[in-house]
Amino acid sequence: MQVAAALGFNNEYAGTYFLYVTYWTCLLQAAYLLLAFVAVAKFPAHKPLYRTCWCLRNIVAPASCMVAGLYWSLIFPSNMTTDF
Amino acid sequence: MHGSNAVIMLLDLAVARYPLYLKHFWQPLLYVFLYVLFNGLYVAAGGTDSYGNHHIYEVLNYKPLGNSLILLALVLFVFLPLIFAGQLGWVRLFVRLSPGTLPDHPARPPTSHPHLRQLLAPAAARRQHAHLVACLIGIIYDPVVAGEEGAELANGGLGHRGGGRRGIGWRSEAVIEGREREGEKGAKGGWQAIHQHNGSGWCKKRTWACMQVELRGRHRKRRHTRGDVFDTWKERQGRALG
Repeated sequence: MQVAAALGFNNEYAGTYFLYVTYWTCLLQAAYLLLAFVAVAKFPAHKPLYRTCWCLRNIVAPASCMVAGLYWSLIFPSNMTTDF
Repeated sequence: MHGSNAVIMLLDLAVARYPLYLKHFWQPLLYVFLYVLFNGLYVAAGGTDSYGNHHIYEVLNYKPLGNSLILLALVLFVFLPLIFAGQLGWVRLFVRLSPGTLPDHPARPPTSHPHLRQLLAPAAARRQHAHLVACLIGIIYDPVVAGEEGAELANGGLGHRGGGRRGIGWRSEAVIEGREREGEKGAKGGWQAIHQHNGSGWCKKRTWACMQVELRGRHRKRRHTRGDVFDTWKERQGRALG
């Protein structure tokens, strides 16, 4: 779904998908989860893969929380003000 | 999307055992800094969002540049470190709940003090308490019981290093009495029993209870020899004769 939206199949964000930090984080999270699954299922002792997952996790974990916090504290109230 | 991803990552932090260190804070900081750089360049180049506005986020529209910079500084150097520190605490909580699952976070003993650690470790504490009771029995019964059995009890109670409250290098009263009664045959007890058992006067295991007895002055911290025993016995015999 993320890939479809990034390629422009989603009309609302067509062409502007990569502008938002939310989607940057979503893509990184999808990559992390995919790599983590591959690492656990197929290559449990693959050190570069493990290091990549580790690095991605270090980025995605705080970034996703930051995105959620900033959205509900800054973006969502400003959108509500605009709508009304 | 604005919440479920965070929940997923919090669950991942709880169950996955990737180490999380404070020194790796530069990774999310670099990620956010790169996005801020991209955002600034995009807006400065005249880019628009999906609604045609000349900004990506309304709160980050750079119109009053100072406000946007203050917001970015707060996010980068206050909000993000707080999130990272909170996640460190979150990970540590689950590591504490399942100790030993991560090589970098081994099962930590409740205290570094050896005596308290042994007291707090349940199985070790049970063993040591049983040994301490045996020590006390040996100390109490040492002057009472006579001969080999008494010495064995006393020595067994203390585990090593001679018997009972007389401690290392001393024959107990009971053993001396037994030897005196049996005359030239001698009685195997106290030091002799230990010597036959270990091949030396030293015990090969140092347990907590024995160290406690030693700290209370019940033991002497020197190796007891056959000469010590003989001299003691001879001295006592000489005093008895004289």
